[in-house]
Amino acid sequence: MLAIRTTAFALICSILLATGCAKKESFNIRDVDPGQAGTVRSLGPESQDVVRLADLMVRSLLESHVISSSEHPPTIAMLPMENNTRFAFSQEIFTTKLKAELNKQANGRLRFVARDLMDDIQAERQAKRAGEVDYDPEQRTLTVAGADYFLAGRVDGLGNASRLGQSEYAVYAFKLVNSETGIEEWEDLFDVKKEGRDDVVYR
Amino acid sequence: MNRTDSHNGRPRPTAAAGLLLLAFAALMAGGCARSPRSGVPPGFQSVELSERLRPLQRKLNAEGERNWVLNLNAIAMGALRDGDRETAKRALDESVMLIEVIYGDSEQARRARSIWFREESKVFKGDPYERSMTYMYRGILYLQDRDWDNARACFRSVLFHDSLAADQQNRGDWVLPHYLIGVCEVQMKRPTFAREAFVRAEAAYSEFVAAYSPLEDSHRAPRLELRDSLPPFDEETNLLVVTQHGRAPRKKATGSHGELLAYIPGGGAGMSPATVAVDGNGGTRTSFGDSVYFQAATRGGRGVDGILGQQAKLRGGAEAAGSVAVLGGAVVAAHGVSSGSDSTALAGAGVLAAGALMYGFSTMVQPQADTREWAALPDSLGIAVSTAKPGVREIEVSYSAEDANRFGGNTRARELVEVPEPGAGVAVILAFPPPAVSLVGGIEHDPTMEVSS
Repeated sequence: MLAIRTTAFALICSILLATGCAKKESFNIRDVDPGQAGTVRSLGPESQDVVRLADLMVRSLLESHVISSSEHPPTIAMLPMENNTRFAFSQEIFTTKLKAELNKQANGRLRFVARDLMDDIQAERQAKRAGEVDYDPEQRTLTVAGADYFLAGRVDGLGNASRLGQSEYAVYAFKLVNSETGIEEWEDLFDVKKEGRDDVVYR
Repeated sequence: MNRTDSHNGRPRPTAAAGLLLLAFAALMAGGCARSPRSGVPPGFQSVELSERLRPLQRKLNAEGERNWVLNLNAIAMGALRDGDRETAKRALDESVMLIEVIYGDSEQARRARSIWFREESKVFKGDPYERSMTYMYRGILYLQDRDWDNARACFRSVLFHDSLAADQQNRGDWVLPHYLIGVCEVQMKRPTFAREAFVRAEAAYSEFVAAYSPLEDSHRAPRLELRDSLPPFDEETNLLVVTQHGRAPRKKATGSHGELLAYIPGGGAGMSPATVAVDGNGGTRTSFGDSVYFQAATRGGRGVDGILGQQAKLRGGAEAAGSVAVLGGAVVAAHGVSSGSDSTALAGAGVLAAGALMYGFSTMVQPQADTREWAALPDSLGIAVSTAKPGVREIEVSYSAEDANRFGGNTRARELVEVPEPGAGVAVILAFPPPAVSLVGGIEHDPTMEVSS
């Protein structure tokens, strides 16, 4: 009888252990939707912030009077985004996504000047004029295009921490500044607040 | 123990079942928790380290996720010392990312809280001063790259992680990050914000001076040469040198069961300023920048202290009860044997066995505080600023004999640096005292690569 009970007890323990310790669904690498918060979270900027910000800014900017009521497509120079938070990150991920989405969805209603390629552009122009490479004279301009507007972005952050957890509030703002008058003709913002609570062993 | 089964008259297997249940509970409490991952962090897998740093890479791989931050920081320090800034950046970036992971109610954290496992079984993120110093080094690297806003972000994170300190008055009381934020603001042509940052730095410095003196006497903290104020920095300043002095604060488990964490100065004899010369000319003495030991020693209590305290009480209580039961049981059993009373002897033996079980249980409770530490950190940081002649300059940093002794007697470190025109940026040097060259196990032994785990 004792042997039966002990065996039964051991069996129940084994089953419980086997089910309790069953490996949860794990992964090494997998593709996920960048527009959704993933399993790996941080209080800093995340991919869904990039996607949501770009989506919001594109719609807002294309609906603005600067673009919708302009007779000619305005030329825009994208400036580096300023990071005024406590997180160090590549700000270019925001500007790259935003500029590409604007170019894609604007259908020619605005144009960006490629200031990041200025050295290559100048070298090509010189090579053309020196006869080193062929080109269409009809396409010739006195100089490279200037920007009617600067598109400038920044993110400001406010972090708090206490024994109860941490929170981070971030305000992302982009504005369109007339490069002649300096007047800000359009601006919009996207803000997000995240909270996290680390386990007590880390506090 | 002498109770019988009502059905068949056999003794009930209560002790055996109890032990089995205990083992089962222990397994369920901790054994099922997912062990930290092994190998190197995913973001660091493609990094090739120099021959000198390979032992650290092997350690990173062998100790896995539990010590990723600790070993990545050691690699970063070794790489910085070798002048391999790219590797240092990769290691610190990875480390920062891991520090920022929020371990909510994770299995690993539950395991560290469990009475069956030591606190050090948790994934190491470091104490607030260690997390802050991770950001400090990354921020200095951003400064060197003239990425001012990301440098500023890192120095803000230095302050943020210090805000986890339990003592309200010691939250965000670092000095150097405020000063370096001011440097960033100057470079970004934001004079108002720069002024504000320098004012905050001066205020933090004054508070530090007032708070540090008592530590020198009561905790034998290194004696520092402290001036009245921090060196002025303006838009014409084009050279900034950050020096490192003394040894890292050490962690020590104290209390009756090692449940309390104490920080002791690692600095030894003290810190004297270093001297910075440009192309062999002049000699700017460094000013105090920050005290890592002070930051470690003033953090106050930790959230986990309460848990470890309870565990220590449980262990102490079980130990005491077990000892008394063993002793009492032995006496009763001996009396039973001598008086020829089988029932008394059996009862004494039972109490003795229960006491032994209780004592055994107490030894399984693990209240010891986590003493893993970033041993390569300095005790304190110094700064020197000047307006130097633009161009490639040889910067020579002469350390005091006390600091040099840490590394084998060589007092001078030299580095070539491109100094910009005044108003066009600032060249930033992170100076290490030169290492002693001694071969230990085929590799150059460098105290800055020390890791304690």
